Order: sequence, then structure tokens, then C-alpha cells
Amino acid sequence: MPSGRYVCDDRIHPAATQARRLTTVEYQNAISDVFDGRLSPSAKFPGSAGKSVTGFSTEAVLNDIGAGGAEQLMFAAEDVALQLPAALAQLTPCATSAPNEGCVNTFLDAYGKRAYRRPLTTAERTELLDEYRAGVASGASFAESMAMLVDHLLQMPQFLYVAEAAAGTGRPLDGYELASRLSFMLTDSIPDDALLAAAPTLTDAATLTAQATRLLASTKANTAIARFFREWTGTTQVTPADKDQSAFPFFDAATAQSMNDSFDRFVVDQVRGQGTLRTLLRSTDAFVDGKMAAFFGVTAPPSGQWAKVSLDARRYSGVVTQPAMLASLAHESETSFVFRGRFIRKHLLCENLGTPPADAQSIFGSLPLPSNPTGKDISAAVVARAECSGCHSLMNPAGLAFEQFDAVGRYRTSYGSGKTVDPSGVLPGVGAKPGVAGHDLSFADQTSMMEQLLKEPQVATCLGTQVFRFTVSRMETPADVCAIQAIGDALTAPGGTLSQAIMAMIGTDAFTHRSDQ
Amino acid sequence: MSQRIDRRRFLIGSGGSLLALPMLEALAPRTAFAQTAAPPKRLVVVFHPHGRVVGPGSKENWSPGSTTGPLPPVGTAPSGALAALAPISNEIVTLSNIDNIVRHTSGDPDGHASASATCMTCVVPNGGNAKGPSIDYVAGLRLRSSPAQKMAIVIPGQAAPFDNSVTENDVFLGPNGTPGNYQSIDPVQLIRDLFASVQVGAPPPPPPTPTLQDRLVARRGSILDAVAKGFSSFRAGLNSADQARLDQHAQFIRDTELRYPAVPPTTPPAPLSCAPPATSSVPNYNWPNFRKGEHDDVFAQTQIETLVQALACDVTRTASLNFWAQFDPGFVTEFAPATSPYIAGNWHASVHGDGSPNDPSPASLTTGFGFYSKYFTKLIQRLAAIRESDGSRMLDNTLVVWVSDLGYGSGHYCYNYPVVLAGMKGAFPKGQGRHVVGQVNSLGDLYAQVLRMLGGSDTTFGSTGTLSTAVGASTNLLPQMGRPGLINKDTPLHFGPLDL
Repeated sequence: MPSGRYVCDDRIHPAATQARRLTTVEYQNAISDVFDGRLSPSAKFPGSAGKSVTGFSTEAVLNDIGAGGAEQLMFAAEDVALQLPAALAQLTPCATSAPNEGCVNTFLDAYGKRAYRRPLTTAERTELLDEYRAGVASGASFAESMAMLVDHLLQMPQFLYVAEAAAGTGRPLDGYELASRLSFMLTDSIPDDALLAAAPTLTDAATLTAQATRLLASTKANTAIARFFREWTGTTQVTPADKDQSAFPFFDAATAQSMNDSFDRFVVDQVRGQGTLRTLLRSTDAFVDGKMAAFFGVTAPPSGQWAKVSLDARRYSGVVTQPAMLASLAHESETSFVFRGRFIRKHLLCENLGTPPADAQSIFGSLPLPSNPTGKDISAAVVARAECSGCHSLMNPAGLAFEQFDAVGRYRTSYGSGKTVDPSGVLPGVGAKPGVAGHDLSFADQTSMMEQLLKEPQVATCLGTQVFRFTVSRMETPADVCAIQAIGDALTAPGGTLSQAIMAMIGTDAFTHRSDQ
Repeated sequence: MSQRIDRRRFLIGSGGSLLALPMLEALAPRTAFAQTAAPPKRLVVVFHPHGRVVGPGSKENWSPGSTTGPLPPVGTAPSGALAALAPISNEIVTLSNIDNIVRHTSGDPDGHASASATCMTCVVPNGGNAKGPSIDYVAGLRLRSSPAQKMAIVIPGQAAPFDNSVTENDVFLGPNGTPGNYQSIDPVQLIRDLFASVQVGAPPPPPPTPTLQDRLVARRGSILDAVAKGFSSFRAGLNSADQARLDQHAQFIRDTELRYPAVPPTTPPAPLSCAPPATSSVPNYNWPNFRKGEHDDVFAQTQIETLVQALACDVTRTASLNFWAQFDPGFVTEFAPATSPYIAGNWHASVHGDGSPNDPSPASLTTGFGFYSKYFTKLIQRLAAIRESDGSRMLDNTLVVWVSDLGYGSGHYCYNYPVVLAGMKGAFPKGQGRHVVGQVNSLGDLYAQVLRMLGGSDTTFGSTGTLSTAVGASTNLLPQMGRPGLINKDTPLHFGPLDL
């Protein structure tokens, strides 16, 4: 949450955004959606590179093409174009009955509009027609010429970039710009035909709300919902390669996949099932198939099916005890109270933490430790170092609260050495900010820590901040405080749900307006 | 399609490096160097060593006059050294007052190596070592029809001299001073190298019908052209930060497309004017081991025909005729049998005026120099004799530039270079048949003008600024080899357009 004075008044508070290239996920979804699933995306589309500041993969700078990116984009476009002739008759029946420029225009009306997320301008249509004409002039068949057109289409910035026209000090987005924002936020893809049809009137708040509600309720939103929670919590797609197979021989590919699916099902259910900030952080729900039922020690559903079960409330606390998250925030064989604690302080409380010293790893290797050290032993040694204590005194207690979950997220009460896990502690300086010292939270384990954190207004504001970052693909500035406050208010309102928080974001000036500043 | 090739070609700037142009500029339609259905533009560079072969103050026998004015009519010798140019005096422009300014930055006290390293590059050298590409290379990149086409080929104009250990192989250069595209000194091998893939006579059978993949691959070399319009219109609506992001994207596309051929790699039919010389037509004088120069006339004539046909067959659009023998060309063919004063190998010493076995007179020097003039004339006449597909003379589409490494060879002086231009008549607003004694100009000015005459918009060539900004004020500028009174730290490397 940014500091600084900013007054939320009756004026419009637009948000600055940057043009950004589609992420790999967005590209894959877009190719499928543009061509009705009849053409497959290419694996050659260049991915993201660099370290995210927000934690979210849509940051513009992460998706800038590098030196080899243009070539990869070219190869990717060719891969898709090569598939076109075989699918052309299904995509555009006139390709068989009347293969002429009228048919090309029919194709562009449908698929060009989807790719560009708006009707083509006359110049754009002409340019694409020229590609087709050049193909015909070179002796290519109708289908081949259409493929050359598609090769061109998929290398155009209108397809590759989510970009909005310059806005100066601020202006409302037009309906098509709103449609793109909405669809990429909620579905990680292009607007569907219904949204494009509604675009001319999308500047009407009721229409916008109706379309957002429709999309959020659709299964197409699952990908974006899961991505938000994964990227916020640092939850990766865990694989057996991430873990020490000698320590966790049961952690095979099928188990890892079930663990990943279980996480996604949980967070989607939280948004769809009227989940709240409280349930997100304290729910005992878990989604299990045969593998995850065995993992949790609960009754398995019929083979091949999933079931929502309720776990022991003394052990589990919503998203933060999802095994996929716990496994992601851990090392190969050992837990990481640093990774887990950093999530709490940096991403749940939105506190600014410093950068580790360059020699952090060597310092860690030289720490004096007892034999078979516990997490607390190691933490104490780290905090004893003056250059480390500033951040680790804040992070470590929060991470140690999760020590009862091993490196793959299994509940435990003792270490392999036989020593008992002590998850109790004191979380210092909660709510601290310039001029305010903050207060300490004492807890017996992570469940009591999460329960107390839920009472901190900072948590709702921070989640609102994360939704804001996810939506605009950048860090917030003081000018964004009104939008963030609106999302936080939706979360803390009586009965306020996660989906209402998302809808609150969509209703802000930051969503419906943009500026260049 | 032709417009695509044109714009793409212009993405390559001087030095062969990619221009970091703003996107709009890079995408803007460019007409310079445009290659249309009309015959292509070409550049031929002729080089000889030692400049005017006499020292400043010696009797002038190169310059046709001391002021700007018309050359004598056809049939009348422009000057002693240029007497052989009499038949083509209406096709040429001779230039005085062209200096090699940048050479003075070298710190090279001898001056010859640094003059060679800069006379075609105009780039601040590293001592006697070149740091830039020569004019033929820069023009070659822009004029070639595709990356597959040969460019900037350098054809020897003389057979090996008596002393084969010293050469002028450091005059024609590639990027950063790398060796130029020197061709075999064996004229038979040269013909084989240049014309192996030329198809003459009946057209080759049509290529197999390309697959869609073939067609898509063929487009890779012109991606930016394909998307240029859309990029420009899309970019126009964005704010400056977003435009910068698109510009970077375009730059990477530009980098990518240049790694692919601009046009499908097919062998086009040879122009009607194309008639590759037969290897059997080359007299067998055991050329690679030839050392005496008795047949330099045959050699030069053969090489000129090969060069001209390389242009006629569109094997290349940039070629140089390199009279490369710096030390001891015998010029045997220019004197009565067995009377060449240089047959014993003392041309270099004679140019220096430091005594030689036969103490050649200025007249002998002029006669020796006449070899260059004679074959320059034959080159121009041969270019004029070939008709292009549109009926024009090949000479009218070919700019010929004759330069040297020094102004005056006697003391390695780097001013008042002997320069002759010919061909491409339409690029001379004031016409040809002129001798120009304009303001002092640099070789950089000359080559920038050459690029403009070929269709570019260059205002400089090579290094820019002044002598001090080019290398630092503390550098020893060695002004004694420059034009008296001209060389100091504030001397510019460019003075402006030539009076053409």
C-alpha cells in the first residue's frame, strides 16, 4: 500500500497502464479462442523473462521481447498459419463455396475482429487483404493465401499487445478497451463474441457489471482466478523434480499433479462459492482425489472424481496451508521459514522488506548451529547476525508458524531428528509504518496467527492491493489509493466476498479510465 | 514486393551495422537506392597507388587545369597523365582539392599505411590499421539485391609484380577494417568464381511449386515490411512510453529479418546483356606465377571484361578494379620492348624521387601512369557499349570513381588527391566533361556525395566532427603531410558538398 496523501473525492481517479505483450498463457488462450479451438497455439511463442516486481506475470517489462523474441514470434505465427488450410472450411465455409475476397472479408469480420479485439479499421483490413492478394499473386492457393494472411495477423501488435490509446491526464476507456481489460483480467484471454457484441455499450456501468458477472461465473475464469492466487502466493506448478525423492518417495508426478489441481480447485471455489477473506485464510476446505485423500488421510472419493472435504481446523488454515503453496515455499527436502514468512509479511501484509545482502548464502553457511537444528535454532542463529536481523526478525516468526508442514506440505509434529516442532512465536511490529511502532502478535501456531491477522485491517487492504496490481500489471502509486481502498472496503464489508472485491475493482475509475501519468 | 526490398535494404547503414533509427524513421518509405524494374544502380571503384606519382611543386601533369572549367573536347588530352582519357573526356569529371583529413589522426609518422587504411574508409584508424569499411562495401550493402548476391568484389587490375610481398590489400575493407572481398588474381579462376551460378541461354526449368511452408519461410526476410503499416498506425495512437516499447519490438524484428534472405533464394535469369567470358578466352600465361608484367595489358583487358560482365550478369552491383602493385609494377607494356625504366623494379623509388637505377624522368613517370588512364578509359568504353534491358547504356546506371591512396606519392602527402568520376550521367547536375577545382573537400565529402548520387541521403561518410573531436586534442596530428596550413585540431572531417 503506497504511502502519501491522496484524497478520494468526487473527481475521476484514472490509473496509468502500460502496453504489454501477451503472456504465454494469454497467447495460448487467445489462439484457441480466436480460432474456435481449431488451431493450436505454438510452443515457440516467447515466454516471460526477468523477475516480477508485483509478483504477477503480466508486468509489461517481463514480456518485452528480447533479441530472439521476434524470431520466436515469427515461428509461432508460422506454426499456427500452417494449420489453417486444414481447418479453413470449418472456420469459413465460403472457403469451399466461394473462395474470393468476399470470403476473406467474412473471415476477417469474425477472426480478425477477435484477434484485434475490435472491428478492424479500413487500413487494417486493407493491409491484411494485401497479404492475401500477395499470396494469390505469387501463385498460392486460396487456403495458402489465407494462411499467409494469418501469419501476418499473428505478428501484428494489435494482436500481440494489450495496449490502450494515449490518454494524457486521463480519459474513459472506450467499450472495446474495457472489453479487453475485462477479458484479460477475468479469463486470461481475448473477449468472447458476447463481450465484443456488448462492447459498444460497455461504458454503461450496468452493462459492464453484467458482462463481468457473466465472465466471472464462467469456467473460462478459472485460469485467471488460479493464476491470481498462484502468483500472489508464490505457488508454482510443483513437480517431483522440485523435491528430494529420497526424502519423499511418494511424491510422484501423479501426486504433484493432484496437489496442483487441489490448489486450483480450492481458490476457484473460494471465488465462486461466496468465499470471503476469512474463509480464504481460515477455511478447512480441501479438494481431494485419491492421491490427495491419501495425502490428507481422509476418505477418498470414487476413482477419478474429486470431492470437497473438511480438514482438521486445528491444523489447516485456508489457502496458506494448501500443500501446493507450502511445497512451493520450501526447499527440496527442508522447509523454508524464510519463504513462508516472507509471504506473510510481504504479500499478506504488504510490508516492504529489504534486499538480502549479497553474501547471504555464505553467511548462512557459516552460522553456528547445534546438531540436528530445528527451525527455531536456525532462525535464532540468523537473527543473531546484525546484518540479517532487520528483515529476518520480521519474517522468521511468521514462517516458523508453518513449521508443522514439511517440504511437501504434510502435517507433522516433529522433525526427522525426533525433536518436537514448536510453531509458537511472536510476530513483531504488525501495522508498523512511519511514526507508528506497530504491535506484536503472540500465537501458539499458524492457526492462531492467521486468526489474529484477520483482525488486522492491513490484510484486507493488502489483498486489495494485490488485486489492483494483478489488474493493472504494475505496482501501485499514491494516485491508486482510491481503487485499492474500494477493493479493501468490499472485502471487509459485512458479508463481503472475494468475487465482490473483484467486482469492486472493475467498478473503480482505475479500471474504467486511464491516464498516461 | 520491390518496395519491401528497398526499405529493408536501407536498414543497413554505414559500416554494415544496423541503424538504431527511431521506428517511424525506420519504417518511413524510402526512395533512395530504390531498385525498380529499371536497371540497377551500380558502383565501380578504380584504385591506383601513389596519387599523382609526383611531389607537390613538381611539374603538374595530372591536373587538367588550375580552376574549374570544361575539359578539353573529346579527342584532346585533358592532361599529360590523363592523356588516355581523351576519348572519354565528355564522360568524366576530374576533381582537385580533395584531401584525406582523417588520416592525420593516425599518429603514423610514415603515413603510407594510415593513408591506405583511410583513403577508402575515412574512419579514424588505429595507427596504420583500418577501423572501418570502405566506400565500396558500404555502397555494396545498400545496392545488392539480396544478401546472397556478391558485393564489393575487388578484382586485380595488374598481374603480380616483381616483388609480390608488398600489396595494397589493405585498401578495400569490410566492417571494422576486416579484409575486403578480394578476388583471385588468376583470371581463369576469377571467371569460374564469379559466373558459376549464372544461367544464360534457355531459362532453367521452373522451380517446383512451393509449399505453404516454403512461402512462409520466404516471407521471413521482409517481416518488418509486411507489418510496417500496421505497426506505424498502431504506434501512432499510443503514448510515448508505449511507443518506445513498440520501437524496441520493431528493432528486434529488423534484426531478425536481416538474418534471412529478402527474397526467395531462387536464381533469376541472367539479363539479356549478360555474356560471361569463357575461361578458354583467357590466354594461358600461367597467370598465378606471372612476375614480369609483360602481359599486363592482356591481363587488364581480361579483368575489365570480367568485371563488366559481373555487373551485366548482376553477379554483383559493386566492383573495384584494383591496380594494386604499389612497389614495382613494370609498366612493361607502356614502353618499347625492353625499355621500361621500371622493369628492374624501381617504380616506387622513382615516385619518391629518391634515385633509381635508370633515373626515370617525369616523362617516364607519366608514361607509366598512363597505364592506369588507358585501362580506365577502356573500362568506361566497355560499360558504355553494353545496353541495359531498357536500352540505356550500362555506364548511365554505373557510377565509376577513380581514387588513390595518396595525393602526392613522393612524400606520402595526403592532399590534392587525383580523383576522376564517370558514368551515371544523370547524377551530375552540372554535367560531365568538367574539371572541378572547388573548395577544399575531404574524401569523406566525396564518398558521401557518391552515396547521394547512388540515391542515399548521406551528408557524411566515415568519422565525423573535427580532428580533435575524432581522436582527442592531444593527439599528434602530423600536419606536415597535409595541405599546408590546413591541419590543426579544429580542421573538420567534412566540408560540404562538392561542386558537381
